[in-house]
Amino acid sequence: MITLKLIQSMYMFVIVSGLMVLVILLYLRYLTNRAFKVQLKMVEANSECNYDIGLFLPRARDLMRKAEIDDVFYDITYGEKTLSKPGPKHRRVITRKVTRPDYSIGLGIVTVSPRGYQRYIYMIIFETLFLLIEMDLLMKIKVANDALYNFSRLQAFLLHDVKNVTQFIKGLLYNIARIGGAEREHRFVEYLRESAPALSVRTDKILATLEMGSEKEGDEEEAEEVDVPSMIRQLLDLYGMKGEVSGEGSVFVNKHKMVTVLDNIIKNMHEKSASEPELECHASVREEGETVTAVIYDTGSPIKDIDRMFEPFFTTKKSGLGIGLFQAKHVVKKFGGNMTVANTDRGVEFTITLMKGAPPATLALEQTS
Amino acid sequence: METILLTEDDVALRAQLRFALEERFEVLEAGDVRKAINLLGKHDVTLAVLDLGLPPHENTPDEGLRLLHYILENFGIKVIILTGQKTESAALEAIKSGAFDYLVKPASIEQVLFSIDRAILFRDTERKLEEQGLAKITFGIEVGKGLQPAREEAEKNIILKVLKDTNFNVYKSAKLLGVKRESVYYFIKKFGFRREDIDDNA
Repeated sequence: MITLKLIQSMYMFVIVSGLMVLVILLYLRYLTNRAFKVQLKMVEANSECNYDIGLFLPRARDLMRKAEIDDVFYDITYGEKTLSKPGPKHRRVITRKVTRPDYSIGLGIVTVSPRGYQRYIYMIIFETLFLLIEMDLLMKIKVANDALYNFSRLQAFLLHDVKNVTQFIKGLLYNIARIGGAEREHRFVEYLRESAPALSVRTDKILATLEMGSEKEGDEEEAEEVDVPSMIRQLLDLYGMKGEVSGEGSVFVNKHKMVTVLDNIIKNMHEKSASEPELECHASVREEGETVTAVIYDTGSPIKDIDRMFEPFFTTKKSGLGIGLFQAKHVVKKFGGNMTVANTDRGVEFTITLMKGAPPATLALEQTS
Repeated sequence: METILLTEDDVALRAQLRFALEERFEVLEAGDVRKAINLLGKHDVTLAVLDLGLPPHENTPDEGLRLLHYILENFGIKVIILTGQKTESAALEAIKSGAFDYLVKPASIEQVLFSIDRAILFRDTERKLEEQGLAKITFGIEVGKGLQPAREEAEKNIILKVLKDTNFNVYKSAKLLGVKRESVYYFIKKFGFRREDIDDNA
């Protein structure tokens, strides 16, 4: 009888306690959900701001208000730039400062609620913000460093070529003043004739490198008829490479740029032949309707990471810049064609597909008249 | 007539240099290290003009420095560097290795010719001095480390030179150096000289 009475009196108490626990659980769920939403929105906002901390921080501050974080203050330094927003002196704050060689981050938040259980939620949001800021900074520093590094390499390459051309001109000026007799004169002209193809390839390369990325859409280009097999043959001779060129095909393109495309491929093979002396370079050209396809292949070893060969600044050579093949593909695409590379049974094979194109108006007129 | 080995990978520039030099010298041309070594083996080259940025690494001085070391170790002729590699480390390494001159492109042809004439003058004078029993020995030391290492380095170089000149004849070497034969044996052991090494370098 007593037990029954006890159960009757406890019944209400159990129900009330259960309800209280449920309410607390629901409240905590609401708080964590809110925190997760704020976190997700912060990640999205960072991406929308294009990982620019200056734009991102005010937005982060607005978002964090929804999670009862009253304010954000910071003192961030990277490169020559400083972003700073001083914080309050006597309020409830969570802060952290990290100093690394390339940057320093001081970050703090002002919280509204003093309650202990909220602290973990504040910490999670604070850590997310800190990580996002650090990631943005590292990304910025890496991009800047990479650009500087690549720029200095590009400059070194151009300098090498330009110095040689300048040295050539100095030699030329000295020699012109001292040609002497007919026999020397004849020899001088002979030397110039021998030098001309190499010099032309070098200056084309310098120009193409400097012009890369600076072309505007719709730029008028001087197109002329280029006999593809004969251009390949000339380059093979220039590099003293063994190999045969078969087939026929000509395209109407900018000749200097076409030289750059083929030179970059054949030069690559020539460099490879330094460690593989037996290496030969063959090519076949085919003209079908409106397209001309040139296949250039070597008889050497396969190339590792061949899928990355057209990536700018990707190189397998210690002293390489990794711009040559990227440049070649870029030019071919500008011509409206395509270029691929693959390791095949016979060697490394480049395939260039080009649209035959039309002769420029003036040339067409001359031909018809 | 002097025979100059011109190692330069730029065909156009090489032709101009050749034209400028061949009035006074016999000129051999090489575009890479392999060709240069081949020519050195076949001809009696008396002087070398060398570019450092050679294929397949035109943008680093590595190939040129490799050839420089090879020439100096095996032929002991004067080498003039004519290069676009303006890095301090490349110049330092070339001069430390024993290059006679270091010209940075673009250099005037007069400068190149002047340097060649000076190299010939130095070589001839050194030869004359050698005939008189005066040998010029160059060696590098770190000044901060005191006199002992310098003394040892000088000793080592002199003994090595005399051993080379006498074709590793200890008796003749001792006589030339004015020391006992035992002392020569002592130095050979101390510096770890081996006949094969000396013969290889000769």
